[in-house]
This record gives sequence, structure tokens and C-alpha cells, in this order.
Amino acid sequence: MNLFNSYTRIIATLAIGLSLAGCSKNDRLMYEEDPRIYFYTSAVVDYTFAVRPASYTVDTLYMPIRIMGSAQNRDRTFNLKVEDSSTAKLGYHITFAPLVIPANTYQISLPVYLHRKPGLKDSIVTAHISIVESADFKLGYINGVTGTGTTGVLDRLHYRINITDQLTKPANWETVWVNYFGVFSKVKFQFLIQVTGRTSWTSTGLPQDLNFMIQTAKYALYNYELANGPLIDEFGNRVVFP
Amino acid sequence: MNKQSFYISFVLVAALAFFAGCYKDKGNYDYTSVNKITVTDARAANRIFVFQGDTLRLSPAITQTIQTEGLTYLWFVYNNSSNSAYNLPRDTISRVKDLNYVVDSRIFVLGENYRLTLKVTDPKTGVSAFILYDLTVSNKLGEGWMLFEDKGGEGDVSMILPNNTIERKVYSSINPTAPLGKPVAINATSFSITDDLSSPGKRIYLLTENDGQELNALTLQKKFPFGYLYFATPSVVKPTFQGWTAYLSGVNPFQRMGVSVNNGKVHVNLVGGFPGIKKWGEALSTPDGGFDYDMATDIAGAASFSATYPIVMFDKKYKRFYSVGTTRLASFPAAASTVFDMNNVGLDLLKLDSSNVSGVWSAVMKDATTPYLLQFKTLATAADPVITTAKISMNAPGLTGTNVITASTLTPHIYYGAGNTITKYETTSNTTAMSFSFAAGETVTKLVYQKVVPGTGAARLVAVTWNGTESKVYYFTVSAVGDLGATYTNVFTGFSKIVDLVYKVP
Repeated sequence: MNLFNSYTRIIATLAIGLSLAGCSKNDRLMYEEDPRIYFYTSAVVDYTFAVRPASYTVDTLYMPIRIMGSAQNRDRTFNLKVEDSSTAKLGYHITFAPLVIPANTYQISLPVYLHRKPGLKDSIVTAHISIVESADFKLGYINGVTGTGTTGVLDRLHYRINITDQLTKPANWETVWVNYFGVFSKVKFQFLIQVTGRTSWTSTGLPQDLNFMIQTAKYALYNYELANGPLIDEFGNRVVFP
Repeated sequence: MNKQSFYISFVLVAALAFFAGCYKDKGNYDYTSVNKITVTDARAANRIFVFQGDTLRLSPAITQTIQTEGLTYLWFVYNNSSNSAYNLPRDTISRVKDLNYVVDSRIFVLGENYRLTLKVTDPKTGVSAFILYDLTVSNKLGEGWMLFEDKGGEGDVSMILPNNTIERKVYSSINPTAPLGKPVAINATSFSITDDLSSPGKRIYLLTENDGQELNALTLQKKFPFGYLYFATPSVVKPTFQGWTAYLSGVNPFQRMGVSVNNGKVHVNLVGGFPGIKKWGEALSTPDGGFDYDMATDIAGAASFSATYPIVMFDKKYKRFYSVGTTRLASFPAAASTVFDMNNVGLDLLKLDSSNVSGVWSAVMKDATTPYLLQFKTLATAADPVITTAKISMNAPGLTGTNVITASTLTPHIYYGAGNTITKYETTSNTTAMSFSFAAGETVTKLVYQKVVPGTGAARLVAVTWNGTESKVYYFTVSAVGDLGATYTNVFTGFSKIVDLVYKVP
């Protein structure tokens, strides 16, 4: 046996075999399970009509919805449920736009209509919204806190909306707004909303906008007092800004 | 070949390769110096402003460690403005050592910044050396004194250029469809502003009796109407000041905060890298939440970034100083005042100006009969909270009857115009000396001390006069000891009544 030629043949065969093995087509890693649907951000939303003019009887929130699996070339429907534990009533406090994932679409912002009802003046109602299965979609995923009406970091099946027509103290008042406007009162807050036109109080925004808001509030309070005398809050204290 | 022969051959080849490593390398590994080229030019240290159509001449010095003939030169340029794209073309404008180039408007766009590079290459080695120049395409109105004139109730701007030529009707010829009302004040920054209303750059404001506007600092075209400069247009528009304060970053001023005075009330503006446009906000309140004040337009702006009181202004109504913040005016702590009370001066302000001591401000004030010089600083510490430094009863005849005052920032002098005279007051000796007397009937209406005249390094006093029909502008060279000399160096005539002036830098 010609040993040299044998070695050469063996090495060449291995090399060719290995190189051809690299040419084989990999199967793409694809989602192959049932189509599913979920909220792509978990959230608890606090909404108050009190920062809106009285002419506002309906306002719209947008819930983020996303599917798992490929888009299809037909409209598909999904289901939402307002849980029995909710104090907000579907069709009275809250209504949904058509629950449809349009063809060739992976995600939507679903309009949710909030209705200003007289009872909201002295109460807060809560809508615990859950995704439920439909003919087109199974449930998305939960990988965290679970349970009807609760949301967690990775709970993508539940959404909670608190609705009121009361002026509620912003959650960040004692950490943020107190530095600019002092002690909270509903009268002060209502005045601030009225003169600044600001409806979202979750953050201060940019420095120049914040300064303008503070300046505007002070100037407006000055003019108010010139015309009406001191503004007195619900605690009997004069409204002042530091 | 059998198996044994194969192994023998393999060992022989390996041994041959092994012993080949013992071969003595006869290569040349000595270091040989090559020609090192150095290119220098003092003009490359500062931005060069060029006009379209003008000739740009540059003669950099080139040195070589080994004199070599046949160096090649390549002058090329590309747009280097902050908002320019990365894929703009690079243009070669010369291939000789000394640049002598007529600025071509097809390459150089007005207002844009360019990076000009000279590449010098040694053809023997291929080694190159470079020098970089920063250019800005300007126009002849890029620099000079802007004179805000009152032409029968209508404003216009003339300019005195660095070459002492006069450009008249500058505003009206550029903005024929936007006539100005009765002029009040003009202001121009000498430093760049980042307000995101427009690209960063210098800002120029023209204020009239019931209106105002921002001018494009390059083209001098009307840029923004008065109301657009504010988040909400003030209900009463009577602007008297609009500008920007700065602190010193090294030796150069750097933007700090915008300040405007409208209808006697202070509005402020921000600068900074955060997003969103910056505009002037609502009027600032007094510490008690009121708006009962009438602010003078003079500003004491601290030179230090970390100053305790970055901006100090004077309320004419209650005759007191305020520290200006971003959302309100603030009083000074009691400990700040010993020589006089910053919160209750009790005198009328004639002029608030800088002094020859950095960080110390001079307020020329008066009561019914006597002028006073009050001085304060803007930096306080816990150990030394006092900012008031001096209150002097000034021995300065005629000073109580004028507000035509300017202070030297190099010598301890304050110049004031009274009637047709300019008088020099010395703060250290509390004495005055007559500096110059104009013709009878020619009243001094403005004085501006120019610390450094660009291109000369010398200080200059600029005087504006009005004789009832004509304004004139005079240049006086100020000596190292504050003297004006026997007479002026230049006079410029034929102006309508000049109500304000500012030096515009490109």
C-alpha cells in the first residue's frame, strides 16, 4: 500500500467532507407555536378628567398590543375582558375600539375610550382588563407576578386603568413638585392646571419648560390676587408658591 | 516510496528547516533618519473670517530636517459646520506653497465654517505634514460698531467698520419691508448662544418703543419677531434690554443666561445642551411673589461660573438690588451688606458697570445733590459673606446730571459726559480731570469703553455726540494710565440721532 498516497487521500477526503458540511442549509429558528397576543408594556394607568375642561366627556387612552408569531394576510380578532372585580363598567365607564389585529400587522395601539360620568366626581373606579383567548389568538405570556387584575414586571396579560374626575395628588408631588410649588392642596393643583394648561404631572419636562411653568404660575397667582384677593385652599390656607 | 523511506524523508526535511534558523541574517537594521517636515503659521491659531470674492493669502513657514527639493503642496478644504453632512465634497483650491486664492462662492457658502488643510509631501519618502485652518465665510458687515439711529421716529442701523469706513442704512437696505419703530436699544453678543431657536451663533437684538426683533448675526436680516422670542408674548411690549450674560471660561466669555427687561420686568432664558428650544419666559416675581418693581437695564454679570450671585440688577422703583434667578428675583442675605444695604440702597442708579477689579462692580448713584460710587462683588463665601466693598461720596462735578457714564476695566477710572465735555473720574483718589471738550452745543450722549480694540490690543473710548441735527462718533485712544490724549483719533459724522451702539464681532 502506498502509505503517502493513502494519507493524502484520507486528509483530502476529510477536508472535502468538512467543507461540504458547511454548505448544508440550516433550518431557520422560527416561532412555530400557536398565534398568541399580549400587552407589550405592562402598566397601571391613572387617569383623571379633572385636568380637562368640562367639555371633555370622553378621552382616549391607547393600550399597546402585540402578537407572537407571524402576521397574516387577514384581519384577526382578539378578546379582552373587564374582570368582575372591576368597579369600572364596560360600556359605561370604558369602551374599546374594535378588537382587531389588521392584516400584516404585528402590533397596534388599541384605543380605549374613557367616559366622564357624574359618579367619578367623588370616586375612583378601576378597570382590570385581561386578555382572553379567541379563535385567532391564545394567551401571550406571563413570567412574573400573576393573577387576575394584577400586573407585574413581566405580566403581559393584564392591564389596569384607574379613572376618576377628582383631583388626585400626583404621586411625585412630595418628591418633585413640592420643591417648586410647596405644600399640596387641591385648590392649588387646580389653579396650576388651569393657568399652565399642563395635564400630565408625571415628570417636570425640560428645564426651560419647567421654569416657564413656575414663572407663569407665579404671575397668574399675582394677577388673581389683584382681582380677587388671596386664593384660599380647602384647608383654609392662602395659596402661595415658594 | 515505502514507509521507512517516508519517515526518513520527513526527518531530513524537518532537520533542514531546523538548521535553516541558524543562517546569519545580513540585513540592514540601522535606523536612517528621513526628512521631517514641519508646517507652522500663527494665523492657524484663530478662526479666519473670509469674504466671498476676497483674496485669501496664507504663507505658512515650512522647515525640513533634510533639505529636499520638490516638495508637493496640496491645499484642500471641506465644509466643517456643525450641521454639515459627512459626505460633502473635498475641494482642492491650490497646489503651490503660498495660498493666494479668490474665495469662490461656488465652494464657500456665506455663514458656513470650513476646514482648510495644507498637506506638504516629501516626494522621496512620501511622508507628509499638515497644517489646519478654520475658516468662516463672512461678509464685510461681520464686524464693527452698529449704531442704532433715530430717523424721525424710525430706527435704522449704520455701521463703522474696522477699516474706519461707514456703511449707512444697513438695516433698511437689507430689510426694506420690515421698518423699525422708534429705536430704544441694540445689543449683540460677543459669544455664541445655543438656544435651539436657530443654529448656535451670535445673537443681535433690536428693540424699539413697542416692538423688537432678533437679527440674523450674519446677514443682518430680520430673523425672529419679538413675540417669537418668548414662550408667551408679554401683554405689554415695551422692551428696554434683551441679551445674554456670560461667565469667563478661561479668558473667553461663555453663555450663562438670557436676560430681558420688558415694561420694567425681568424675563430670563436658559442655554444648555438639553433638547428643546429655549425662549424667554414669564416675568420674574419679587421674593414676596409680587411684581411691583421697575428694573434698570444695567446688569452686573459675574465672571465666575460659580459666583454666588451670577446676575445682579437694580430696581429703580424701590432703589435696591436683586439677585436674578431662573424663576424669581431674590433678596440678598443680611450678612451680604455691611458698607451699604443691597436690599435698600436708597439712591438712584446712574450707571452699573464693571470695574478694573475682576468680580467687582461699580454702581454710580446719586441722591438729590451728591453722586456716590457703590461697589460690590458677586462672590461670597461662608467665611466672608459680605459682598459690599465700598461706598464713596464722589467728588465729581456735573455727574448727578448725567447718565452718560462708562467705566474702565483696565484702570481705576470712570468717564462721564456732561454737556459737551468728557470727564475722567479716578476712583482711587476721588478726583476728576477734564479729558476732552467738544464744540459748544455738541452734547455727549453715549460713552462706551472698549477694553481691547480688535487688531490693536489698545483700549478705546467711543463717544457719541448730538448737536440737535447730527450725531457724531469719536474714537479716543486710552493710554495705559487712562488718559485720552490731546484729541480724538477718528471722527465719523453724518448720523441721525444715535440712541445706542454695540460692537459686533463676527
